[in-house]
Amino acid sequence: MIAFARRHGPAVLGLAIAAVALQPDGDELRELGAAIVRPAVLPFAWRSLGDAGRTADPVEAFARAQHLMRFLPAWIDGHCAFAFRYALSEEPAVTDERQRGERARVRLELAMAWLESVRPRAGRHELDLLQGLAFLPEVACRREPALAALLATSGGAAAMADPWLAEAERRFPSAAVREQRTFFAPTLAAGLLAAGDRSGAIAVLLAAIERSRDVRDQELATIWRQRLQDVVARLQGAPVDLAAVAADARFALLLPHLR
Amino acid sequence: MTPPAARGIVLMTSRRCLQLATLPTLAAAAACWLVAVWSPPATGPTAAPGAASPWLALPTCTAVFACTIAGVLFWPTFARGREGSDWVVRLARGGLGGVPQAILGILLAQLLLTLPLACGLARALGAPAVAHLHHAPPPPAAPLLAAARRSLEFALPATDEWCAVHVQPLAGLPTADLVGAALAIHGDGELLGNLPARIVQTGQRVELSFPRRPLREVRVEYVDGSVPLAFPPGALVVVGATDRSTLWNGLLLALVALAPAFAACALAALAGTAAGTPTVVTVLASLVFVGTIGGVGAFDGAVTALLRGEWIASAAVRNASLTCGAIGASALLAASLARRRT
Repeated sequence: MIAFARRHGPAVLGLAIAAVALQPDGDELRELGAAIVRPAVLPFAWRSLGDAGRTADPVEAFARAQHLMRFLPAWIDGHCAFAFRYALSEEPAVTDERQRGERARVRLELAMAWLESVRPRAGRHELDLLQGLAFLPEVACRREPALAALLATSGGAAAMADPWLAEAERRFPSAAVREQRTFFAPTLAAGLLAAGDRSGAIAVLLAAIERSRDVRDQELATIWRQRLQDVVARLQGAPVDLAAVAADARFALLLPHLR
Repeated sequence: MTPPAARGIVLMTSRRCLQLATLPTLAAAAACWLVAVWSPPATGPTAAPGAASPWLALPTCTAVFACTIAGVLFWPTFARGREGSDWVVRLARGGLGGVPQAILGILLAQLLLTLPLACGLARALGAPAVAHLHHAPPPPAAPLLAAARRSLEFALPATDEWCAVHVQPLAGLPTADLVGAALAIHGDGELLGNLPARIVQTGQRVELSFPRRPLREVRVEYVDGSVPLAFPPGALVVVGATDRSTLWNGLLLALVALAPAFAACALAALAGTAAGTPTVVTVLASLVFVGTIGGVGAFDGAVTALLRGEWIASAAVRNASLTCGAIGASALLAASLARRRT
């Protein structure tokens, strides 16, 4: 015991002083642990992820990606790529439509929860992460129609995406981010109309009309505002000529609800 | 060298390896198990035990590294100019100064350490209780499937009954408007079923299960579509119906892990005919790295197969392990010849 104290005493004392002086929190200790383990685990994890991508099912590839990304927490593009890949994967063995939709919803929720869990470590890439979170539901619904049908009762993919666009706008209040959400309004309104929420859709469109005053290209904003006003008027029961709206591809999702 | 003396070398080397390698191996295994248990990946209702392969590979590699390095540092004739090597060479009968017996001791110690990992830790990480044979029959000479060439035949060994087919071909560019390829699977001339999804792109994996039955041939028929498909080796895998114990599968993994260790030790012994200990240890560590973490050989695939519940004793694993063995044996022979010259 004495020999141990003589040999290792200074090192232990130094460690104790460092711990008291620096007072590392849990995240820092976790990061330190990951940095120590990273060189030993990364080669296995990286190789196995490559193998899984080539030969295994998407569930295993996603699980391996989660293992790998624990050691690369700041690689936001990688997180988004693996989450998208998992959420958009197919399960050909499941033929029942409702079951396919349920499985796709579980995949989407898992992928979004995983992406959300990375936010505290995203740093200056947080905007990319938030935009990835906003786009994922819509892409997943386009890929799996059964999922779109399942989500339609609660406002569709757009209702899932809008809070993330709002969060992106709150955290990074730039004109580009704000406009992104402004031009997202028809998609969100279409989702709400599909869910039977007409007043909610009108509220979204009115908010977009209001926000369009801040769009940098005022010529574009004027046309956009006019289209939105036409749509709101039709939804409120007024007889409006929708030829211009029908010709605008940005309103294609809304058209079925305006006839 | 007399047999009792040879046994002595084996046991001495083995004991030394166990003394030095047990603690790091157990520590690595405990750390990996804790990490795997505390932070399992979120996969929803579908389990993915194969994803835990790094947590099994890491402690196994620790055992391989620790045993081989401990053994090479322990036995004096592994490297040139080591203290005590002259005495050992005079006492030993063979031309290698007891190196083959020392290697045997290293492999014995490694087997004792890796066997509990392969059988116990693998189950703790989620490996299924039973494994099934996954056989990838060799494709025909021109493995292309399209509207013009509508069927491909794959011969199967008569060693097992089969219950499923996995198809993961390469997809070419569509020859007309994109319509995924619809495939039907026939076994011995009878229709086993149509694949549940059309194949549109490379990497898509579709499975078809059917009641267990013996098969001598599987035929893939192109029903319709505009996407031509290519079937390189491994694009079609047939799954055996017989349940095989994961414990036996674990034993196979422990045996497979011996192959890179044997080849590395033998090549290190060959390097030792002309080089000192630091060079020999560097050669050894590099070769073990290449054979395990580097993915050359069968070890890496065998770890994943064990966790996925795939029977390890496939032809590919057997060939890779035998190749390692042949390299090791050749290196030992070359080392013996080199020592006679000196």
